[in-house]
Amino acid sequence: MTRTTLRAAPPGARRLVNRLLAILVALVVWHLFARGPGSASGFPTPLESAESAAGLAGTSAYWSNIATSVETALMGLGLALLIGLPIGLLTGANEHVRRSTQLILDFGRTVPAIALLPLFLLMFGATRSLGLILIVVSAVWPVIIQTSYAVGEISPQLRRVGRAYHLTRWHRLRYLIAPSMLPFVFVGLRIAATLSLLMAISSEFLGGSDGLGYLLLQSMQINDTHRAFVYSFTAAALGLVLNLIFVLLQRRVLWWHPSVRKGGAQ
Amino acid sequence: MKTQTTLSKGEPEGGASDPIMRIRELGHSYGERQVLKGLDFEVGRGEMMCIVGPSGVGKTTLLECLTGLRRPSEGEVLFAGERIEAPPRGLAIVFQDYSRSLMPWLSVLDNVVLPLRSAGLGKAEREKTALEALAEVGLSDFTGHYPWQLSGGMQQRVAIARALAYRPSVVVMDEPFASVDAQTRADLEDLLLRVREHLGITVLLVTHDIDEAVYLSDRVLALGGKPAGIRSLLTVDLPASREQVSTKALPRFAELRSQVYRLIRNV
Amino acid sequence: MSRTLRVVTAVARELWLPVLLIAAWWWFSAGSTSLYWPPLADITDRFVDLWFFEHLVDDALPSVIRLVSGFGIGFAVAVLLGLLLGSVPALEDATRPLVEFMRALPSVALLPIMMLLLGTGDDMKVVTIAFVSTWPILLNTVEGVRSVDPVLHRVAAGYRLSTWHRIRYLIVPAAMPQVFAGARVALSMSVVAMVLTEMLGSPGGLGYFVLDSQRTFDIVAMWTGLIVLGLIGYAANKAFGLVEARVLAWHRGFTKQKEDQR
Repeated sequence: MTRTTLRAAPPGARRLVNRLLAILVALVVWHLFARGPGSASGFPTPLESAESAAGLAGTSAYWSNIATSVETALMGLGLALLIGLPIGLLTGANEHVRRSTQLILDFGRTVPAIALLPLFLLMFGATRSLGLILIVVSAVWPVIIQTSYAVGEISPQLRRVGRAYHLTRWHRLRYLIAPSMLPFVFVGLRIAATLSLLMAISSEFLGGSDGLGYLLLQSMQINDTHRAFVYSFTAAALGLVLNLIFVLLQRRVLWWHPSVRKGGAQ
Repeated sequence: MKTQTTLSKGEPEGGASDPIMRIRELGHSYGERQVLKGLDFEVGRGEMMCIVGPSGVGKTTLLECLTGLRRPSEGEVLFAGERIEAPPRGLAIVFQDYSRSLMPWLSVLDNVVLPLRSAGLGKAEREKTALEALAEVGLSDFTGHYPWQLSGGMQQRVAIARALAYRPSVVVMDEPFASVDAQTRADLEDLLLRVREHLGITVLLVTHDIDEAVYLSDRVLALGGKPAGIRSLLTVDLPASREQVSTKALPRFAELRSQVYRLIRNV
Repeated sequence: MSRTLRVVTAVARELWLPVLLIAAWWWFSAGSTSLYWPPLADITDRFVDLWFFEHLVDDALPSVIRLVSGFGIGFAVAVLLGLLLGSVPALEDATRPLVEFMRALPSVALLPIMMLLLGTGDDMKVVTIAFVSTWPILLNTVEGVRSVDPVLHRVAAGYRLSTWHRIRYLIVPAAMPQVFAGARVALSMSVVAMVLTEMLGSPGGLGYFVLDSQRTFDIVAMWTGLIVLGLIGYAANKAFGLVEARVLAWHRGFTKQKEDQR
């Protein structure tokens, strides 16, 4: 039986309400947890966290440290791209190179870069360089692997089109090769960016150099659970913002790609 | 020996004595748009009925209503005397898109066995039934294969075997041979006729191919119009035993064919 | 070319560079007095000394056990939740922001909270690893459940498959490729979490070994620890690959057929 009566609220608003409801439930559970099992350890309630957050947001130290972390992440990402893209292109273009480097890439990709922190800490001390080297060591792999893959996925058809129309090398690169590689490179970029942020904060946390990670470490050391919470959430928020940037970037740059066209928001 | 009897094999026309399915004033709308209206007919036991209509007329909607996959907005479908609310036990469906209707992670045998699990049969019995069905369609040598290792025609045969193993009273088929090449289609059509003769099941086949409809059926239901309704319910008075070349060469075949064509083409 | 020769050539093509690099490392570090880059020869000697079998049992084994437990728990929880959420779209949509938030939480930021609640022992470590692995798998499981071919749903309805059979024979296998894609990501995140928790938590485990060696300036030992860690990470991934190849054997053939049809 079909209904012809109007729905109570349009689906869009309904979804928002449901989501807010879910968040509210989560907050209530959090509150109950903090008051109950968590009270022994000084677990902050949502309200307390909000207060701390408001307090911290007023300080310049909070924002400057966030900026430091973001800067480190971006610089590290840039380096990883600088190193990874050419290697990836070379590896993808030449079968011999690809075979030779397969094992190394396979291995390098699975080594937890964070384990190298003690070594690099010795070499670089608690500085930004520590973060940068860690980022490069962990983020370069997805860049190389995805770029290499991208080169392999360039359709031979497109290459033939380029030759048939006698496109110049530059035009071929710009209008055929680069765009068809872009979706894959993008995936590599996204993974690398997430790793960069993670490594930036981790190196600050474990190494002690300036940044959000350091704030986190400090708060842990003086047992300031309220602040620790705010810093953790900030880290997550940064990750979300990063994700959002990529979704938007993807829509603008890769608007023509089927995965984006279908309206899938990933 | 070919005889000129109507194909109802001695049963009264339309199988009025004990129809397996009764469709009463069936209609369906999607919101304001009415797709089907006033469909009223019966399907006799052991009958082969083809439902023909041009593309887009609403065949799929009709099929969904007939099988219980969709609740019609008007009218009702009775299966063995009971009103259908959901797919009834005793009714098996063969879908058009065979490559998507078989589970790629199951072997041919496992695909055929699957419906029998929920039907409550024991392991040995399930396997025996499935193997019989696969033998019926000529796929005994491929029980361990995976669907995607087989050709299109063979995949459809697996789907048919799955339907047969289910031991239904009625098999409903949705343009089952539309996606295969002509030669394979001819083979599958004949397979269907053989199987039906052997097992005596009722078949309801939806198709847009008029030749196929006339070739296969006892009766042809011509669907047409907007909203779609029954243009006519024709009895196919061709000899009971059909053969691809000789039957289609009969003048009566051509006549019936033209008749159906005109019926469904009339808007 | 004979078959053996072909196999040898294929292997050689993949191994020559790694072998060369290791040889170069050995050669260039031979007489090294650098603190950070001791001779590879020393490292290998110490490696055999330390890890066969004392530390293998004392540190490597517990680490691996924690990794596998944490990952296993995360996997199970994620798949169960994912099946539930995937089947109830309204619920999935409502909880989506929460899930995305959890996934964006870097494991390092999780540590203070976990340590606050669970201390520094094994519990904290396993729970952290489990927490970290849950979210990527969850998101992918939901995606996998939702991407089940609608035709198969109609087949299940038409043949009156019971709910359990539908889950077991349709939904779970159909979602598996996506689940494994998520599990792969979760595995590398788990390894990172394993190292982090051991560096910060109670003594014991590979992460602790590496950090402790550095602190006591036993760089050679530290290097051996790094090598073990690298090998374990590699082995875990390879093992995962084997399981995946087995479970998803049908998927390779299936997608190939779809591609050929295009």
